[in-house]
Amino acid sequence: MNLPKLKSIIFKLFLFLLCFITQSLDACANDSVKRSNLLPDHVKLQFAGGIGFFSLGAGYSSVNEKFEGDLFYGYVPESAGGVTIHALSAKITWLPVKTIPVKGLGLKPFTSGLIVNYTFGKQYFGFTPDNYPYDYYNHPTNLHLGLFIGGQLRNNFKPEKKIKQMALYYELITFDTELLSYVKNTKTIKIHDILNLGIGIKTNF
Amino acid sequence: MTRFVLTILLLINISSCKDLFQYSPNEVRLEEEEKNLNQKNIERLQAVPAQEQVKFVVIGDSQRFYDDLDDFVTNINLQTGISFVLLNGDISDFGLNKEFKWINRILKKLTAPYFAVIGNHDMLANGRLIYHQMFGAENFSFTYGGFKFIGLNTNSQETGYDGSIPDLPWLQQELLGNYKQAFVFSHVPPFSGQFDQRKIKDYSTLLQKNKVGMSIHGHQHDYSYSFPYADGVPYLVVGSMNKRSYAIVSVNNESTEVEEHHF
Repeated sequence: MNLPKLKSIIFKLFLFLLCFITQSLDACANDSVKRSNLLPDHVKLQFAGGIGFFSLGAGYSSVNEKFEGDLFYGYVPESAGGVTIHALSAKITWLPVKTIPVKGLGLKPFTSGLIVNYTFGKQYFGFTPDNYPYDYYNHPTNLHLGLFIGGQLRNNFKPEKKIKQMALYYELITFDTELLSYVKNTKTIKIHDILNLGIGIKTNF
Repeated sequence: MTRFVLTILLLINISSCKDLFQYSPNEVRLEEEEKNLNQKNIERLQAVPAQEQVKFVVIGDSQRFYDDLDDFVTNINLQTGISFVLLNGDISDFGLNKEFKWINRILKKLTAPYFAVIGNHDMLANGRLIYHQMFGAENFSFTYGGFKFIGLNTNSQETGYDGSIPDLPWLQQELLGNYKQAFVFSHVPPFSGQFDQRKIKDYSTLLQKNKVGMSIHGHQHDYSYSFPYADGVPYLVVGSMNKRSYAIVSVNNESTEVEEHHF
């Protein structure tokens, strides 16, 4: 598998999905765009899952509620991650399955999506720096592409309330470099080696 | 009491699945047993009295070749008389925490002590920091059976050929003293473009003028054994792990022998 090529295809797909969501948002907005329409639909607070010790995100849901698009700022303190890390992650979540009612709550049993994780810092590069032969490392160290599957459990509040909904979600994410290591080394690398668990809370306004 | 038991159970549960929680692909998180391995292995090695002949194995560039490395470990554990195994750099593929941990998980199955030298790939992202924690100093040495073994960082390209790598004054200091013969291990050989071109002559001269039996490298991904500077000092390059070969060097008071083995 050619990693840079795969990466570029997935990235294009990601951009396409982002455009798709933005388009549907535009369609629902009136000519007189209200300020509230531009504000994010929800905020998310996440623990682990490869994008931070804690990450704070905000984003939008598509009109048919099949997609969520979020931007996260992730922070890793040195005490937790060995080095201080600041990261920015764009996440697209696909929620293809209808909500199943469970004891007054709503279960989204299957979600899936893509994450582009960017790490800030001079020790990481996007394209191999100039002091190397052209594209010496053919892979960025500041960008990691993640794929995930997960689920959501939602609790809806009354429509007149300020907080419309709160949800608990989990994600099992793997990064491109990890997935490739697994695919090429099925004897020594096990599936649980490449899965990283993230747990979060989503609040809808 | 119940609450106490529950708290304990919760803590056990959290610690057993803490590997499941990754905060960033670039994090630096090692267990105590994964730290300071070169020093720990020097102590393991020196606890066993040396035979007249010291036999050691050199491998290179494990990178993303985990299954091949695992087969190597199985192969080498069946052999007797191996004093130690040395991984000559490019332990990891992109200097990532998980990559180092996976490689060490395989290496620790070796019955012989093992050491690792830093490679250019190990200096990417936070790799250098992970190497320091997992293996120790980038330049290190130990003696065994009267022979001196020196590990050296020669990945000059990674610091933009700023003159700091390789540290030749350090090497010169190490080569002083009393030993039968020395072996210098480093990832990038001096005849590679990633070695500081201004230091080639000083490096080769230093080796030639001291009792250096061999300069041992990786990086090129193919096995070779040559005398590039025609000064009597042999330069051994071991293949990458996916080439499924390793070198055995046997040294005693009279002779030094090198053999390439396939598995």
